[in-house]
Amino acid sequence: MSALDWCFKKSIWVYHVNAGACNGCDIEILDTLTPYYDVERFGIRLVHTPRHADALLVTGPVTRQVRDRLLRLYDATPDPKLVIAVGSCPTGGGIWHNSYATLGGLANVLPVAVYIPGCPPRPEAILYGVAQALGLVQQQVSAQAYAEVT
Amino acid sequence: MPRRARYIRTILLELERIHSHLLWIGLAHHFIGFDTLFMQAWRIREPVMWLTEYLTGNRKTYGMNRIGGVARDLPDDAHERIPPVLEKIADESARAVDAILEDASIRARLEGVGTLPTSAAKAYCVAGPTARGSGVDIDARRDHPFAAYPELDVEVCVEHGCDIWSRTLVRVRELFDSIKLVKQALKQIPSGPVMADFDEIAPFRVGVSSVEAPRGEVHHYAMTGPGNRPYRWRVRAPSYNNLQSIPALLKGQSIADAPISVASLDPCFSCTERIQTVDTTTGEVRIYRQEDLLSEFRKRHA
Amino acid sequence: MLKHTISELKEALVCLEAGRVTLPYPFAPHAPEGEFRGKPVLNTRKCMSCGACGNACPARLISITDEAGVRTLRFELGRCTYCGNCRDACPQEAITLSQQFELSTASTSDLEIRGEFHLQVCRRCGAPIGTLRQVGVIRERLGVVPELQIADSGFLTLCPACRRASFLDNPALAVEVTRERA
Repeated sequence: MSALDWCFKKSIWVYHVNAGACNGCDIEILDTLTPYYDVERFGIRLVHTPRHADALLVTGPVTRQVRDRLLRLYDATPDPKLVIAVGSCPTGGGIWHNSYATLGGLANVLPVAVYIPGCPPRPEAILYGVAQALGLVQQQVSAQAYAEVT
Repeated sequence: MPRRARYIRTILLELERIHSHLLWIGLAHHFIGFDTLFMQAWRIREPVMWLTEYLTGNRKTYGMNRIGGVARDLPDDAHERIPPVLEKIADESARAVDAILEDASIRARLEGVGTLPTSAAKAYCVAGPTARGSGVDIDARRDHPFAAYPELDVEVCVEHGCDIWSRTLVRVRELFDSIKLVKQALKQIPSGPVMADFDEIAPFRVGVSSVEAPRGEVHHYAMTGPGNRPYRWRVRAPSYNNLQSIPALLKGQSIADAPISVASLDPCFSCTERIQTVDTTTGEVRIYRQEDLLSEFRKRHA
Repeated sequence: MLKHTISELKEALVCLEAGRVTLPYPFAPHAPEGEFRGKPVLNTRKCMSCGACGNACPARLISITDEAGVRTLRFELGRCTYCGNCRDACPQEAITLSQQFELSTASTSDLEIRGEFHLQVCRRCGAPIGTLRQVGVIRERLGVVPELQIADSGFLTLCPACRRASFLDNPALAVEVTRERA
């Protein structure tokens, strides 16, 4: 692990992008800054320009209109960077997955490091997801597969 | 729709109004640089989120409204769980509001700023606290009563200052009024079923509703479809027309006052939209602006 | 000026009295209480793969494919909105919404539930009727009511078209219809 990777684990600055979300996930992201969850104690802070950001928190299923702006924001963010999809909409398109107005999820537009499903995900879930993106905690969810044996 | 379902919907809407107004109070003060109140307001608000998570299964997307009633009943101990949370919020909000009422810096930043005269408010058709802060006496809970509101005492909070401070006062008064309404609803809620008894929902039937959301009147249009799924759905959120008043709001202001002026409308930018057409043969994409839509419409209906 | 100072003192008092409220999460769990709607979990013992959940899901993330005598039931939970319609629609009460909310993942395929169930095919024409489980559930439920005790439940292994045909073929089951003219 290089020195840069080690720094990256310590405290990341996050830029939040609403790519057509309903605002539910955005409010829960803001909720992580508030006293009960206080994400700033981990050194994670919300910045106001992608140029300062280490990670992009993207909400929303990526509407047609926002796609170009989202790509420009991604290019404006300096490397190394993480893209974290917050909510069910960027994870799989949400209930808009087959809508003509959206692009069906963030994976169709940007390379995503971690998906945080939820509608909206609890602030604790967002904290957990960001911690997982930083390599601090292990993934808990796994696929369930069953094959009937007669 | 059974009466109990109406009351449950009302209780949840008022709980939503409580947390939304506390959210706004926090956010507005964040925009004027007073992060202390941002943190405190959201701290005060958090118990409501836990309460709704307990009542409905999710902090924010309650998923309760169904055609004919609500999806599930309140938990058995709702009557024991809700009042203490409301008391705490009323108490702490009162103390926080009392603390900022005489704060000269906040008053200086909010009074006389972002003025929307009553005539402009009516002309732009703004709704909700934005309109009520400019003296326009409208409230869908009183004007088009829905759910259990005909049986509750709704106080329509109108202020005549027309500036951001008036809108703040409207929201603060509505916050305390919502707490009273939830208490009243809990006292009056009847027992009974929470879902009407009916068979299949016929397809292609239309329903339109006007509800007083925390930001104003929100209209939903829904058309049922085959297979018990919606066929068409359209929402006109209040932020869509509230935001049209921004030019009038910002006139003559300094740039430094722009963020708080826009934030004073409590805008939900996700509730805005624009019409984009894609020509499937040429691939050309076109955005329609207001002037384009108006001229198209007038051409066809001249 | 004095009012302003008092106001500032009151603000400070609000903060001091609140104190430190930060939850120890993530170092200690903060589980949701009550009927929290978390990740759907399928009880594969009860599920008969009837597809009622698929009809009810708003995000249409539940799909059923029948192929080569096997029915595959697939939930793509990436776009789940945790509404609970699938749980409410299931006749076997096989779906529960768990309390799990820490669902972050690097790959959306980790958010899948997949079940493979054997199909009952029609013994006459070979078309799939439903899963073996479904037929078993019907047999069980019909068996409980004595009046509906059917001597030969062999019709359960026939598809609707072949059932109709079998009635026509069997003279003992034919019903004579007389029409009275007024």
